[in-house]
Amino acid sequence: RGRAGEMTLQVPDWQSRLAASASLTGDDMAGHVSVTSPLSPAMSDGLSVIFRGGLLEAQGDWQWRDDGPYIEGGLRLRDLQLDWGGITASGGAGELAMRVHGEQVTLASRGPITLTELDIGTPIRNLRMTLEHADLITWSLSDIYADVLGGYLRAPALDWPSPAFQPVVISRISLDQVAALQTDPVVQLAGRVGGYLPLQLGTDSVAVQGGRLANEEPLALLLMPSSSTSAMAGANRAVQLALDSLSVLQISDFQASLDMTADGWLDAAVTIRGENPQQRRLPVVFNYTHRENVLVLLRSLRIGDEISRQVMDKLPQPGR
Amino acid sequence: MSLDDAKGQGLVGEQPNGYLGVVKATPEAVELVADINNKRREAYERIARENGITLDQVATLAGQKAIERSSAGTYVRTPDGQWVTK
Amino acid sequence: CTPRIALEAPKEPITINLNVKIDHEIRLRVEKDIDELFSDDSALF
Repeated sequence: RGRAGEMTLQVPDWQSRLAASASLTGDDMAGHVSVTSPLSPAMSDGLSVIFRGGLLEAQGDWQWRDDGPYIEGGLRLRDLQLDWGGITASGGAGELAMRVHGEQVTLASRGPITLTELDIGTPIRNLRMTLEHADLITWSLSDIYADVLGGYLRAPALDWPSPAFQPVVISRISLDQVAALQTDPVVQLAGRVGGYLPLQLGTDSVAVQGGRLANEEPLALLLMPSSSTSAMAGANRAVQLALDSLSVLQISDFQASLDMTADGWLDAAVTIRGENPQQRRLPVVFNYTHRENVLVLLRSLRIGDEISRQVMDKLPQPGR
Repeated sequence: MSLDDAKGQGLVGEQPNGYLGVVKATPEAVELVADINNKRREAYERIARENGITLDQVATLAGQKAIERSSAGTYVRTPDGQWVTK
Repeated sequence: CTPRIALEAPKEPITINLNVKIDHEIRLRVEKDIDELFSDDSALF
């Protein structure tokens, strides 16, 4: 007894395909549904994200109960590529278990979710994390890892969004890559630093409070002759002396404290102890504070990236 | 006809891409839009060249500002192409 | 006796304090240039 039906639905300009089966036994209605769809810019209209590529496959068993649909199923994502306001992500992949009970949607990953590259102005590579639990409002992640600035970032667990400051460990960060972020370089740096950054993950913002960094090996600092430093030096004798003593520095002790507000303002205070080999190993204590809006910096780097991409692709430059 | 009159009469409106758009295609409106957009393109090119960024970046930034500054009651176009009054 | 010049490293470290605040050029300059386009005499907006 009972009736059964099959249905397939195609969305041509998205090349998506949905197949569903249903059977009615008594007054229970149940069946299976599967969706396969490439992720394309066409389907991103109105979204704040533009899908540049990827394949989504989902399937599940469903049941219609009096308090709404029940679905138990899984989601698989491969070769995800997207652009989110200039931030580009590529090589996204992962498998998720999904359960829908009426209004309640829960997701959890089967194995790690990975992303080959996330370019925020500086590349973050080989991201890995496990999605412990998500209900589309809060996402609880664990075993988070990523390569950044020549070193890596690691966190046992992170909730997003959350007002709490959750510690992330960073290590082997190579200062020459950090120095390369300077839009007009004043200093060259070498050596590795590490430490921890308590992060507050807002819905679309990140803040740091009480971050600490220290050198993981001897470092080196080289002051580069640049318009700003020579202008300063010309100003007065004391500045000239300071710049000379800083010209080359072998650093034995580097301590930094970092704070960044959700709107991107970074305040860093650095204390460096070292010697200047060119000044008869003159001992130097260098207290340096740095204030900069990191969001604007990364955005100007992304604009910079776009210019270099155009130059590399030999696109015609308007007006040149 | 001045740009402000054309906007006031709902013939033209600002668009996210930084260029003026025709809302009601009267001959006068079409001619005004063509003329204004040529002048804007020249201005955007100059700014792009002086700051070493692309024309599109200048135009998009100008578009955001133009929509922000459009007075209430005039037409502005939404990212998905609809004309709405501010 | 001949004067002896001892070349020892100076004991007292030299302390340098440097405070840097970076305002980003490109975006601010571009916005300023665009704002100028909105001035009344340009009649472009």
